[in-house]
Amino acid sequence: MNPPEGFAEFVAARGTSLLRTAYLACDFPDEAEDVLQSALERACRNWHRLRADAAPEPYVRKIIINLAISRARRRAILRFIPTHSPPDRPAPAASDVELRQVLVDGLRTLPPRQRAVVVLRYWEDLTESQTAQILGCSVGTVKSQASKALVRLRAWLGEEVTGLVGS
Amino acid sequence: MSDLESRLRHAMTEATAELRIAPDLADRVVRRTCRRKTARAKTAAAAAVAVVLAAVPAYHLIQERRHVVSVTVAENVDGVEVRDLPDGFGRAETFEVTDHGLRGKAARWSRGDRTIQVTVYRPGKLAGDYLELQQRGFLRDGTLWLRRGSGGGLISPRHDNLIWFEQDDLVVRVTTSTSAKKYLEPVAMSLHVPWDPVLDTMRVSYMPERFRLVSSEPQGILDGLGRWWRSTDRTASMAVEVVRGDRAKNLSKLRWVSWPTAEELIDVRTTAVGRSRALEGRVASKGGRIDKGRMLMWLVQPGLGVRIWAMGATDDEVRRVAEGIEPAPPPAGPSVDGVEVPPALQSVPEAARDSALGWNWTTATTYWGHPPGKGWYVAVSVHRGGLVGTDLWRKDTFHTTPRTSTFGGVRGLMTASTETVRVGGRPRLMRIRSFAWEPRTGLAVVVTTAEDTMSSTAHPDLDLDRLVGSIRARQP
Repeated sequence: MNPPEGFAEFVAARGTSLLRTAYLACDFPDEAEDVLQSALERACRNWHRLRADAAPEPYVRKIIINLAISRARRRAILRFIPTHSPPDRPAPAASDVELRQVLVDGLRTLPPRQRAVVVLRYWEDLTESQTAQILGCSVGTVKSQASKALVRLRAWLGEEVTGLVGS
Repeated sequence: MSDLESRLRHAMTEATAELRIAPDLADRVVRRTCRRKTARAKTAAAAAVAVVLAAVPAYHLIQERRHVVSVTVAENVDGVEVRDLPDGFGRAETFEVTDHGLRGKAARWSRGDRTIQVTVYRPGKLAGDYLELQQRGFLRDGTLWLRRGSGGGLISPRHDNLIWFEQDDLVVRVTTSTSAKKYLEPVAMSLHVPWDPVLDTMRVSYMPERFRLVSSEPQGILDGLGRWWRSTDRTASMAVEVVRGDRAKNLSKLRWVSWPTAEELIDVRTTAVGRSRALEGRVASKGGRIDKGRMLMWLVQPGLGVRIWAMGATDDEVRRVAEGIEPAPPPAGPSVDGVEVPPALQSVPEAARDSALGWNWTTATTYWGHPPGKGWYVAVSVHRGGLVGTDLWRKDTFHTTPRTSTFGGVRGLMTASTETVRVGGRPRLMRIRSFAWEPRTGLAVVVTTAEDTMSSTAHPDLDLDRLVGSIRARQP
């Protein structure tokens, strides 16, 4: 089967960028490619309609974010099964290079919707209204989720490291 | 923007910098979409039959649906995809190894007493063949194995250990337990090393199956930037080179090649590649006595040309490779010569565009805000070509000596100066800062901000650090 016209070019041009979004939005890095592939499959099936609108990327990005959120929520239900030992949490490291790794780890501890807001706002550089459109919520919700996410990240980093990062 | 947001942005950029899609992702998606459609049709048909044959056990349908599952990569070992692993070997155990002075990453699968291990070594600039491996101590009792790789390989006498040079800078090893040795060659032959089809702003969309990439990174070839491929039996090679700048101003300039030794292009004739006029000729040395293949060259546009130098390849192979070389798809959003513009600039009015041909590079620049000399502005310049990054390029690009600096989480070269311009008839002092970095070989991006020191309304999105970080994050 031949790809729909323009689909292969779109994947070649924007695939890596979308993979990076998926990587940041998913609970586990291994999931990213699977989520991207599922999102592209949906886009491929609806490609002719998408091309008419001439903006496939926001559509694919929206699917990626929604898939990542729904997968994380499904997994969260399973997490309610009690375990005898508390989850491991690495001690925050203070050096600059390690700090970045701790930040990415911290990003993965955020609830899925807050993580999506952080990725869309601070990595994709989307405006609050664009982020709200993708998540299907109000601009006010985006603002409050972003604010809560940053508070959580500061708490995750701990006082010692937060001092290095600044307010 | 708070420091936490800025660091978070850097952290996310660094965490994803190494990620790349597989070149065949689009094909895989299309195949899977096609299979799902077929599977849905089959499921619907099966459901219709099930109405009549209600006694058919449900698991029959489930088994049918299993065909929906696509071929997936069992493991990615340091960029090498392991496909077609035998059933039942479960998840891989991954670890790092050091063998005979080469550091590598390995994945091992087990099923009972059967084990399969794939080890990938990336020894930097080490180029060699099976003899190099043997000298290092690998499989001293091994015999020559030439079924894949650019540099040949070795197989152990018991056929449970295989090592070869896949590329100049990539050595791969497959080992199995004696009980699993029948999987040794199938696993080795199914390994897939994805390569980036994009070369400069062009895309090499076709290469015959028998040719394998010699080096994972683009390299300087003759006058431009290119890639070498070599046939698995080492009897043929092909180089695709993208030439930029004055050397590719027109077809007659492109014809003058900086040969490595005393080669020359003879029997030149005019032909066409697609709709472009092209030149084709034989490459020879010693007055035509020594054959060194043939060369095909054409202009994509003034300042951008492509050459193919093929040795041992058939005319048909060269022609098909040439027809498959096409401009890489531009980024979805606004861009400067293939480099995506940060969203912060998209709301600022574009003021001017400029382009120039260097000796062996091209420059494309877009200004936002005001044209230079007329007020504040932001400029993004994209420099491409074989000499980008060299001293010659630096001298031509920077009017003052640049210093090493870091912006947007990337190290590069920076210059700062002031300039007085007249705005509305009054003199205004502008602070001009330029920051240049090289995201990859043959590509440099220069971001310049000219700030009005008298104005108190600086635009926060036009901060140099943020602009550089945003462009860097968008690099494919």
